[in-house]
Amino acid sequence: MKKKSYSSISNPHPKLYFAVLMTRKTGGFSFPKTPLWYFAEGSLAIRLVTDEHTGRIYAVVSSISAAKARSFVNKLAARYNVRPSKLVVLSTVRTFIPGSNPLLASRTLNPPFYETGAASEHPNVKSGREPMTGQTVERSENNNRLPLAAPFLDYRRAQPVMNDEPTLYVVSRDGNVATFDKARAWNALAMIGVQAGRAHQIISRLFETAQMLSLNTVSSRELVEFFASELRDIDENLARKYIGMVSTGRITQSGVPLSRGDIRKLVLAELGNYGLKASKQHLKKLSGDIFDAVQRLAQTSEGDEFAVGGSIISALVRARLDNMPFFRSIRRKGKERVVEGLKKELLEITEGVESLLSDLDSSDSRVQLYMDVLRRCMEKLTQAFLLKNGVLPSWSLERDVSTVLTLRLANPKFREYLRKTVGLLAKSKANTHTILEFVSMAREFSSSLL
Amino acid sequence: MVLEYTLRTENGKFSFELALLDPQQLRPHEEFIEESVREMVRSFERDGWQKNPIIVDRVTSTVLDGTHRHEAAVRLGLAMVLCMVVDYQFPGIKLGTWDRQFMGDWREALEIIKAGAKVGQGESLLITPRERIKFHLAGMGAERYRNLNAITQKLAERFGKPRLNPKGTLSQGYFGIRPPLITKQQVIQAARSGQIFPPKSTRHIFPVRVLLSSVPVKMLRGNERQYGLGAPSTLDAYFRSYDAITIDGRQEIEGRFYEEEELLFYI
Repeated sequence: MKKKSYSSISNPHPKLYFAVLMTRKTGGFSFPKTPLWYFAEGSLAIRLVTDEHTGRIYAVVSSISAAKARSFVNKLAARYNVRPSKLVVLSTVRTFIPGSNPLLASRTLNPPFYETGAASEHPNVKSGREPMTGQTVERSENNNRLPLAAPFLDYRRAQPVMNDEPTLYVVSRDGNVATFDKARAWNALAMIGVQAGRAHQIISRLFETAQMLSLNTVSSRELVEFFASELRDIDENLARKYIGMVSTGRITQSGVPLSRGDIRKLVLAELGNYGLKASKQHLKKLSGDIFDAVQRLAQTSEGDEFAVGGSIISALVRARLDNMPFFRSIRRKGKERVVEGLKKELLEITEGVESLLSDLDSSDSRVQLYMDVLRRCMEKLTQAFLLKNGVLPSWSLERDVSTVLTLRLANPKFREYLRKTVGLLAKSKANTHTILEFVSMAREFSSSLL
Repeated sequence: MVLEYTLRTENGKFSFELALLDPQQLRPHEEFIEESVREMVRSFERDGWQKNPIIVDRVTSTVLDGTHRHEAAVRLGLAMVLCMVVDYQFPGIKLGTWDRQFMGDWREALEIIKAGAKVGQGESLLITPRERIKFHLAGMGAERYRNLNAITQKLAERFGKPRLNPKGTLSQGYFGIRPPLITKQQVIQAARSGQIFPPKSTRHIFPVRVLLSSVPVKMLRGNERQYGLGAPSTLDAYFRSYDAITIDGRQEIEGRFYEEEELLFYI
């Protein structure tokens, strides 16, 4: 009997494959845009990009054979709850040219983000900005070669309260630009157990590096790579935890990655149960808070996936909304009764103010105390107006006023009144006559609009 | 923002850049089809992305590929467009034409051609299943193409809209018109002089084609006033977050055969 040879099956070298998969959209077609790590039957997704518009998944997969890569991509689609329809391309990758990260340029000892885990052992992936097949492909950046259509502008300095650091802008993969949120970054680091002082140091180093490189805009990926690299210096596990936290695909609900968008939908649905909606800004804040809470929960477990139940998310949504003005009362009594209550309170306040102010001389210093009462009037009026129009108010008068100003329903006189009153409150200085005028107008608007 | 690439190809090292250029500074060498431009404008507005770069000659700023994307960008008033900047004289960049193929009796077509051209000799061809009949059109360069276009329009009125075929193979029941060859010099001359070719006159084949390099249109508008930024710095950071991969070309992807040696994707 012939002896079985093991040489043919020993240590096959994986290759990179590029796959484009057409899918048929289903209800929950929502993909994470950040790099993900999936391990299945010897295959690994190095890069995963989805196009929700065309329903395509683009993936770079490391696998020992085309067949395994194909099967892996199909499984990937199934995981995302989409029905694979057609594999448009499955081709061996000739060259892999990783995106550059200037923030890591001075950190040669630290490998970039995508080398965490099994990917770092991939024989075909080189680190840093060098292409995989260094002899055939070169990539470089040159800012002086061709005339650009628009000039680079100078730094914009942040407000003095934000120290002397320049504002850093972050570009996400979908092209949105946002100001780097220091507090959020600090929270994220704190969430994975980085000490406050260390977190502060890391964030400061980010600003120093960006300043040194004259960068005022960085990509979200560069930020993640930078933080992961800094954390790796402290503890490899911290880096892993951080990557796990920022990889949106780690948190799943019913096997599908959970996104902020999903939570936004849940918040809207919950508000809709009571005939309410929220402003775009407000909604973003609410869903962000809830997502952060889910992330905090996810920190309690290790591993590649954290499955969160629908009931937990619903409870978090309910708890967060219960913290919003009147939401608990609306759930108990209904919107109309809450509006009526506010109207009544407003009437009582205005009557009280009118009778008290009429006895005071305009030079009396107590007049300024009534500015606070005017603020309360305004709060009640805007809250009642928003609720009447089915919009959930916030805790901030200024935010509520700007929401009212965006409502088409608000009449021009009312808008003008709100603008003037906010201006007056900002100055926090008025005489008896002005306060009385504004308070009586609040009562008039209350009877005509509510 | 400029990203430079050099790839070793069959014809030697091929260098190109991805850069943001002002669409007003680019010179098209052929006309656009109004319907296609409108569709492109709609696509820019609906999807919010410029999906593939316009291919431009480094020396003369001639638009070699992407006439419709270029015109759509001009109409939308974009401050810049994503371009793949190449050296047009690189031997690996091939210049071909599109066969116009009609369904019907080629003998009838021959009579129409005879009315506008000298048949028997010349630089253009009527391709039938059995033979290739030469015919000569008056004029040179773009003018000659205009004369061909006039004949093609008459044929379209008789046989319906032609289909454009790069390969030259005829399907059952079809005949084709093969336009005269165009040189790179003629392309540049047309762009410089403004005497441009009719739509779909040239077909360029590059050693590498960049696909899937989507750029948000909002960035191309160059109005990042909200953040006080110049859009190039934003786009620079945006592109740094993407990896580029190349795969073998000369394969059919979604019904289109790509003749390029390599296809480059941003992912």
